[in-house]
Amino acid sequence: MDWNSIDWERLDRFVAGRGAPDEMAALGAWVNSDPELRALASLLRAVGEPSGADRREWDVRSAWQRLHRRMGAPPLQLGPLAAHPGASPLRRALSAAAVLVLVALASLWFVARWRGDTIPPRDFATRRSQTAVLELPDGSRVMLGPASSLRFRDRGVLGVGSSRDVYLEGEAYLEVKHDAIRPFRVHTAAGFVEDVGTEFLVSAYPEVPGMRVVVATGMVALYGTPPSIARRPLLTLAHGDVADLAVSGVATVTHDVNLAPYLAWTHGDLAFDGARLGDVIPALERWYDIEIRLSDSLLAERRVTATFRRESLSQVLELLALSLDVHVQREGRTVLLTSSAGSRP
Amino acid sequence: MLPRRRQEFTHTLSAPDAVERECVARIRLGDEGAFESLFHAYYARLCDFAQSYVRSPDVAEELVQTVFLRIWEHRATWEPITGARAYLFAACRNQALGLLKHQRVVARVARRATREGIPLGIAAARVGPDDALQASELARVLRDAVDKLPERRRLVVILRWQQQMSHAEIARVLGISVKTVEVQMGRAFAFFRRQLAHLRR
Repeated sequence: MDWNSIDWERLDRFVAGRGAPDEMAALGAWVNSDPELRALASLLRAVGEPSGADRREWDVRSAWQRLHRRMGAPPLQLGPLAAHPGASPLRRALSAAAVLVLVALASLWFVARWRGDTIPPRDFATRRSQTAVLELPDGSRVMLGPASSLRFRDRGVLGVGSSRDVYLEGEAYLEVKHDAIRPFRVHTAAGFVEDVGTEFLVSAYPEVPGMRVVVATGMVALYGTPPSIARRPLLTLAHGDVADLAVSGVATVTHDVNLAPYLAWTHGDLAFDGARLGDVIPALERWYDIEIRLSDSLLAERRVTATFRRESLSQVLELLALSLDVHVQREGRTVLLTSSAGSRP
Repeated sequence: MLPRRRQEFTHTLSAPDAVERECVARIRLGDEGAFESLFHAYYARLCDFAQSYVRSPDVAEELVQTVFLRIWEHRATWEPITGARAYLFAACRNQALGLLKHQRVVARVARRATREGIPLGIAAARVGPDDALQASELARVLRDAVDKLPERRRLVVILRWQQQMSHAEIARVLGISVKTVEVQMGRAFAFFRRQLAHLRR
C-alpha cells in the first residue's frame, strides 16, 4: 500500500465511528480489505494510549469499590468465594474444568458474589432431552436448550442493580426486554454478550471451548472474559451474524448466515447444514439423551445435512445410517456407528 | 509486522443521548445504580484520557476518582448542559491541567522516562498480536507523530479517534468552536500524511 494515497477523511470517519450504518459498512469493508490499512486504523483508535510498561488495564470494579467507600455509603460485604451454598451446575463444571476455564469462572463467580450481596442466586437447569422456557422478572424470555443451566439473581434482573447479568452454561435463545440503562448480559466461561435490543442465541457447552453467538434480530456486543479484553467489545454483531469466540480470546464473525439450522431447536427441530458428524453427535446426545460412539474416528469428519422434526430416536438413527452410509447398532441408550462394509475408508 | 488476529475490525456503539440524559436525571435524584453505570461506562476511557496528560496511571486513576466523587457530592445540582460525556472529559482535562500546574517538573521527568525508558524490546516481551502491532515501525512512526503535535491538536485527535467523539462534542470538551476542531483535524491529517511518507514497506 502506498501510504501517500490514504484517504484520511474516510479513515477518520471510520475510526471515529461517525457515519450512517450504510456508510459505516462500506468503510468497514474498505478498511478490512487491506491488512495494512486495518493495522493503521487500529493504531489510530489507540492513539494517545500509553504503551509498554505504562499501559494498565484499569480495574473498574475495584475502582468503583474505592469510590463507593469515599461516597460515604456503608462498605460492601465481601464473603469468601467458597462459602456459597448449593451445588450448582456451575460449581460442578468448576471442579471438572480445565485451569483456563476455571480462572474465567472464578472471576465470574467473584462478580456474582460482589453484585448480589446476600440474595441467593436462582438456578434453572434442563436435563438432556429437555428444553425449558423461562420468564425473567424483567419480562425477558429465555428458552433454555437441553443439558443447560442458567443462573441469575433476582436483584440484578429485577433492576436494583445497574445491569442484568445471567450466567449460562449450555445453550439458550434469548428475547431481551431492552433497557439501555441496565444492559442485559449473558456471561459464559469464554466471555459475555451484551444486548442492544434484540433476540439472540448463545451457545457455550463445556465440551466445546469458547462460545458462539447467533443474532436473530437487533444488535449485540461481544466481550471477552479476561479483563485485558473485557474493556471494549471485541465485536458488535447484527442480524445474520454468527460469531465464535475462542478461549484464546480471538473472535471470528461470519455475516449473512442462514440462521435456520442454528435456531431450529427453539421450534423443536434439529437441523444441520453440512456439519461435521463429530459436532452433530453432542447435539444428538443431548437431544435424545443417548451416548453415541464411533468405531472409527475418521467417521467424525463426515458431513451431515438433515432436519429432524420431532422424529423418534430410531427414525433419526435410520436417517443417519442412510445418509452417512454407516451401520447403526443400538443397545439401550448407547449407539455405535460403524462404517458400512465396502464404503470409503 | 502486522496483526495476526483475523478478527474483523468493527466500530463500537455509543449510548444515545436520550439514555444519558435519563441517567443524569436519575443521578440527580440520588440513584446510586445510575451513578454506578455511568462510572462503569466511562471510568476506563477517562483514565486513558487522563493518562495522556499526567502520564502516570496512579495519578490518572486518582484524578478520575476525584471527578466522580465531586459529581456525587454535588449531584443534586449537577447539570451537565453539554452532555454527560463531554462534561466528564472536560472535568478530567481541567483537573489534569490544575494538577500539572503544581507538578510540572514531576510530569516532565515522568514523560522523559516514558519516552526513553521503554526500548521496543520491552514492549515486544509482552506476547499477543496487539503488542506485535504496537512494536511495528508503523506504530513507532505514529507515536512519534502524535507526540510532536501541538497540545490542542493532540487532544482533538485523541478525543476523535480514541474516544470517537463528534466535532461538536470535542468542541464542547475543549471549549473551542467546531470550526477550530475541523481546522485542527485537517492539519493533523496533513501532518500524519507527511510523517507516513517516510515509511517504507
